[in-house]
Amino acid sequence: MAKDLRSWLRELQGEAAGELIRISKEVNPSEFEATAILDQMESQGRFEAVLFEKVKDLRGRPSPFRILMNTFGTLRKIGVALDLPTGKRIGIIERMLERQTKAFKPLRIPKNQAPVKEKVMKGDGLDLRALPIVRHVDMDGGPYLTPIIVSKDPEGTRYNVSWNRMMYLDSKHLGIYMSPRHLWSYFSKAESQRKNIPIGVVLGHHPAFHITGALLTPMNEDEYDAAGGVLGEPLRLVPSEAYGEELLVPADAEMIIEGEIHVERRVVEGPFGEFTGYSGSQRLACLFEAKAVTYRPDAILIDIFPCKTEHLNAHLPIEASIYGKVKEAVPTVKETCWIGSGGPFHLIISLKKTMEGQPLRAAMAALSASNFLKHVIVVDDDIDPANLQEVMWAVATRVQASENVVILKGLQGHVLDPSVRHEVRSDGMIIDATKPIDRPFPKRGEVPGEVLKKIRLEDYVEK
Amino acid sequence: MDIFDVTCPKCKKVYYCDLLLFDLEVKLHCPYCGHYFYRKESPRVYVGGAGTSAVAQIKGGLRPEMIYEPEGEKNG
Repeated sequence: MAKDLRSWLRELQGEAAGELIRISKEVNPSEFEATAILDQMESQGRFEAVLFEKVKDLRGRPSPFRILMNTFGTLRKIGVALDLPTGKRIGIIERMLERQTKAFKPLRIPKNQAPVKEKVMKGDGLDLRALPIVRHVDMDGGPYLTPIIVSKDPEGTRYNVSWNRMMYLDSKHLGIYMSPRHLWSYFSKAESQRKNIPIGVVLGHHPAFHITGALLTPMNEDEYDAAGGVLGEPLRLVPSEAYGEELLVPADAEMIIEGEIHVERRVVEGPFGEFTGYSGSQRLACLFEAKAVTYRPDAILIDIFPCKTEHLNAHLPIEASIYGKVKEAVPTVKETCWIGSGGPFHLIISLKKTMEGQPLRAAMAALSASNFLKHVIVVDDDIDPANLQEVMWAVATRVQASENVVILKGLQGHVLDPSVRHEVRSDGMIIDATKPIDRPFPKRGEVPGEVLKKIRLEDYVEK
Repeated sequence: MDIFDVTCPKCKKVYYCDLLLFDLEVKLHCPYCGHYFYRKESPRVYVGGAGTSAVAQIKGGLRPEMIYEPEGEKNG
């Protein structure tokens, strides 16, 4: 049996019981009802995956489809997707790094064996209003899909797998926003050929496939191969309905909208609540025209709550890449913490400093590894980078701003950072919160270890 | 990227757009009521950059009658 969303749900129920809840009461996702539930859960510190079993489509009718949200609400669920159900935070990051440096060539299968081909909607029968689409936060420009986009290099054979937001426009059109990364570079090539670019909009597959969309794969490596690496088995592919062999799509998806991005059209798109926690501004984006929808009759569509924790967690491959690069630069790096660092553009590195200058070297390796980062704090290995109280204590007690803070001007930043005034140019900052090792430095006040072993709390204080 | 606040002429709610859209002849789309409109139809557009002084922060926005025109200017 090939891995798909349903196999992951079964594993989740078996290995991480309590990480999934089902809601059988009907909700209208385009009227914020799904995110209202998730928002309240998050306020209570609850991050279970939520399967909405009865949802309304965009016409307000009961939908045969279901919606799964908070798929990436906890690292544990991602651990299950990576076959590491009981791993700790750094263990899951290391497993992610290991999986994303492997690759398996995909497997071609015939159409009649592809679950996603069970039903087809095209021509006059194609109506995107038949889908349940979530409107997430108050200022969203409309209902939004948060799918995985599969696309092929217009000048080659490489496939790209990316996460892109898509705003509902009408029964056959969506707006698609591309940040200046790989899909955008394919679009630019297609634009210079004045030829629309065909894509597949994947709305539900194994979470390991979805998380491939956040991989920082080099442009000379195929992301269908990389998806196999992350899944731990070859990804099964099948020719698309609308473009045949020209566009191969994942066979085990729940639903795929096939269509093309117009190179000579633009749409006003947004605002959209992004992973930064802010509603990003209305802007110009590209126009997608749907040509066919293939799906399982009771398809489960994955949706991300973009303003919230699960969206940051879904960036785990980026954290794993950064961790790998930082460790390569300074092997005594113990841990990194990006997700959970208190902001989408921070990284905290803990390392065992053996030489002055190592913190800066590690921080610069991190900054060069990803444009998501602008602030890097480096702490000693006695500090847990995921414990912000400890990190801030180190900053408070081990930093002199004139000596230990480095400002980098004109760094390539992230287009969605609300604080940048230029489209992508940003400032970087490195805070070296490690103790100096070339001069004496005070010791942390600690109760002697041998006394701690002898005096047991439970012998003196009742529970 | 810098943004500008725009008030929807229909529902009067405020949202924001990329500054890139400021000078383009495209219809903006109100996320609250779905109304499409040109920027020039908006009763209030706020680009910012005017500072935070009491002079710049005018309740209800700057109205044309608030601008003093010197006599010489009025008479052309």
